[in-house]
Amino acid sequence: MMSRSFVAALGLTLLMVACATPPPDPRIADVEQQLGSLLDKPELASRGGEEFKNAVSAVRSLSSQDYNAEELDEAIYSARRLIDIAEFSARERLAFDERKALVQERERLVLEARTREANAARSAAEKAKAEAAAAIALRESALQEAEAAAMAKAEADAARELALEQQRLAEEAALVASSDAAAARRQAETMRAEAEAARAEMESMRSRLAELEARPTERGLLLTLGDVLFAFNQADLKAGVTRTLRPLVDVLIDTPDQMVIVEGHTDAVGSRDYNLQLSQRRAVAVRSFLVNNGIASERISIEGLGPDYPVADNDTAEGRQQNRRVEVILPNVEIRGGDKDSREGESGAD
Amino acid sequence: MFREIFEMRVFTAPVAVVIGLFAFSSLAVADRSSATVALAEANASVRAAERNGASELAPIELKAARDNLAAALVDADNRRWNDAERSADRALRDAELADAKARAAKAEQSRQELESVVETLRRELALDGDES
Repeated sequence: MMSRSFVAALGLTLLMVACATPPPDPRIADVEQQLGSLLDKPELASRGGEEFKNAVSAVRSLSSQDYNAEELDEAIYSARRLIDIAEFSARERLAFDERKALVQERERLVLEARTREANAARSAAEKAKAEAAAAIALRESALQEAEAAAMAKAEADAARELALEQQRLAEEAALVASSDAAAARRQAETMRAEAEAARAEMESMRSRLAELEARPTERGLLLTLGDVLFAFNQADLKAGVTRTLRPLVDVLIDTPDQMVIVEGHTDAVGSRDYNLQLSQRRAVAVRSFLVNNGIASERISIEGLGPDYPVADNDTAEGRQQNRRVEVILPNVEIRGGDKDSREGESGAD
Repeated sequence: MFREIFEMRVFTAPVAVVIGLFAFSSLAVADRSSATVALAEANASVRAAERNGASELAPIELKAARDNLAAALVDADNRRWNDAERSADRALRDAELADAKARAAKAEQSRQELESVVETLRRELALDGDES
């Protein structure tokens, strides 16, 4: 019975205890939930530290410790604060860790910036070097161009010199040619003038010697003085021949350079030697006459040709009379064939 | 007496020692002693939180600490040692929280400043990268 009553008492006690045990405070669950949500954040939970331990132990004590109501209020208040403190401490550590990473990132970025600056500086240096090389090449090519230009200029100068020289030569040649032409023209003029003068002179002579029946021949102006000058077999000039020969003397005085050839001729009567002597003497007589009338003896050449150059038949008296003669020749290169020469001179002058 | 001392902000470590000696030497009960210690700790924590910038960074938590500290002082003046100790404990937790919050905020602020610096560097590098 006692046993039964004990069991019953124990059961009643347990029941009473069970009924007396108050239901868990809902704030405890709230706090536990608050701690749980904090622990669910790995970035914070991993940085808990001492503050997390305090918070966890405070939350655990809420359900394990036997607090009276007042103590429980305080414990819950403290636990909530400790959870918040743990969270902020974790946030502080998180911020520190992130800041540490940012410091490394900043150092990395600064290093990268410096590297880039160095690279930029290096590439700038390389670019500058390339530009310098390009500038040098440009200068080289400019120098070469300048050299080529100088060479071209020298060649051009040489060509111009050559051209100038050629021009000068051409001008000289032209000048020479022109002066040659002028000289030739002057010469031609001179020749023509001389020819004109000679012709005029010859005309003058001819007209003045017309009375002496002067006629132009190849040897010069030929005057045939017939036996009017000499008697038969005589070498002395007849009286009165002064008038006959006067025109010849005048002409010779007027032309002091005119040479005179006096040739004596005879007919074929008598010996040839004699006739040669006779003709010589007659020529001498004419020369003497001319010298006596003021003609220099050096101008006069004489020749006795005897019967060797008849101009007519010696078989007749008339022919023999023609063969007895003295021929006075005024040799003049210009007069000899003078008409022809003067014509050539005129055509040459033109 | 306690309130004057605390409000005059002359509650330094030597003063706390003096208070402690006074508490022990005045044959006070254990409640008074532990309340005095709790008051000293709470006061020190409030000052520390203030030094760490809690006035700006955790004003609500700091105000709670001060209110609880003030209440503790009132209780102590009225020789309600249990109430004083309880309020001082609350003020201690509040001050610790205010301090933790302020330090976390400062750390976060520093992190953000550095992050903006890093962002600026990244942008400049990206610009440079784009140029080159």
